[in-house]
Amino acid sequence: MGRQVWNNQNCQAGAGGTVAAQRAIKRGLAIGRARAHSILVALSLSYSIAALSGAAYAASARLDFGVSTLSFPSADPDTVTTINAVENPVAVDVTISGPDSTISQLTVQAAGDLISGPDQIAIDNVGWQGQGEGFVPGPARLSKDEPRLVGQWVGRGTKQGSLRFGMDNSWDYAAGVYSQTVVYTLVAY
Amino acid sequence: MRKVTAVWAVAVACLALVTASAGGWAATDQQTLTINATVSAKAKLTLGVAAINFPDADPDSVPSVAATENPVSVSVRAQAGSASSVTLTAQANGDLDSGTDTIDITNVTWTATGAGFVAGTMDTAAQPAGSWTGSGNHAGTFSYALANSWDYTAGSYSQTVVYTLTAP
Repeated sequence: MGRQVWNNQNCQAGAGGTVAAQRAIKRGLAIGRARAHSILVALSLSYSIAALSGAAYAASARLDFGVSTLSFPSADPDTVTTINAVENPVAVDVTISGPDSTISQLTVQAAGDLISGPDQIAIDNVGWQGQGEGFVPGPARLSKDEPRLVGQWVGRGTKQGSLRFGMDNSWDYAAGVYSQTVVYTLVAY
Repeated sequence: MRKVTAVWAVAVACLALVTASAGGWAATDQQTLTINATVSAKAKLTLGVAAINFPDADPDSVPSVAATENPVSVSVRAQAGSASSVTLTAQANGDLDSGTDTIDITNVTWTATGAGFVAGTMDTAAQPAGSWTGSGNHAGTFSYALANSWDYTAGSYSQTVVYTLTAP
């Protein structure tokens, strides 16, 4: 009968185990540790490669507007058929970083119609014209149902442009102070 | 054993690289713009003519003398609260005068066409000529008539009438 040896890795030789078996167990543990170490190295290596890949090819996007509020004053619909925003022209800066193949797109969507208590003015009465490289010249109109294209570019850098906003005037508008928000979204990929 | 491990490590690295590449590196930014629009109450009244004339006529054959300018176009445009009452009134500054002679202004009447416009009789008190609710652009006509009479003293009579459009 062989001697029983207790292994300090919580590996217990059963009754009747042999030194050969013990050596096999130790060898197996050693192999397991080596394999585990190799796996750890591989994972670390792959993570590093992935991180480096991401850092080298990720695009970034920044959108800057010259104003945060647009104002359309009251006007006689007979003499002012289109009301210009007080803030015209509104400066827009689009800054893209990334590889030369980066595609970026700027869209706008309104959260709803112009609202004044129970009264509404359809948001598609508000439109704009764009100026600057990549900006859609228009005229285009706001929509609450779908995003509308404002501009698109290929490559990186800062694209400067401006938007001029106008609102159709009408004797049908109820008197009041109307408001609504629109969201401009810049995506670079 | 070491060769197998090395191969496996490379495979895992490649898998990670492919996964990373396929994960998408899109970047986004957003800005919110607030739009404010002010619509102030306003009213605009337009009459097609500045004067109307009633020619001389035989009271027996022409008991009601029509103004030569009939029909007179009238345009009412208003921006008002959606529940506000927009009103048009007519008020004469007195009777028809010819020196010391007068013809009662209530002998002048009018009929109207167009949504919201109403017929009436001239008076020195303001008389309703039209009413609407809320904003809008309204077009109509007024046709004027002077009741004829053998009792009228010969002369040239005149008077002014003020039309007032109110959009609160």
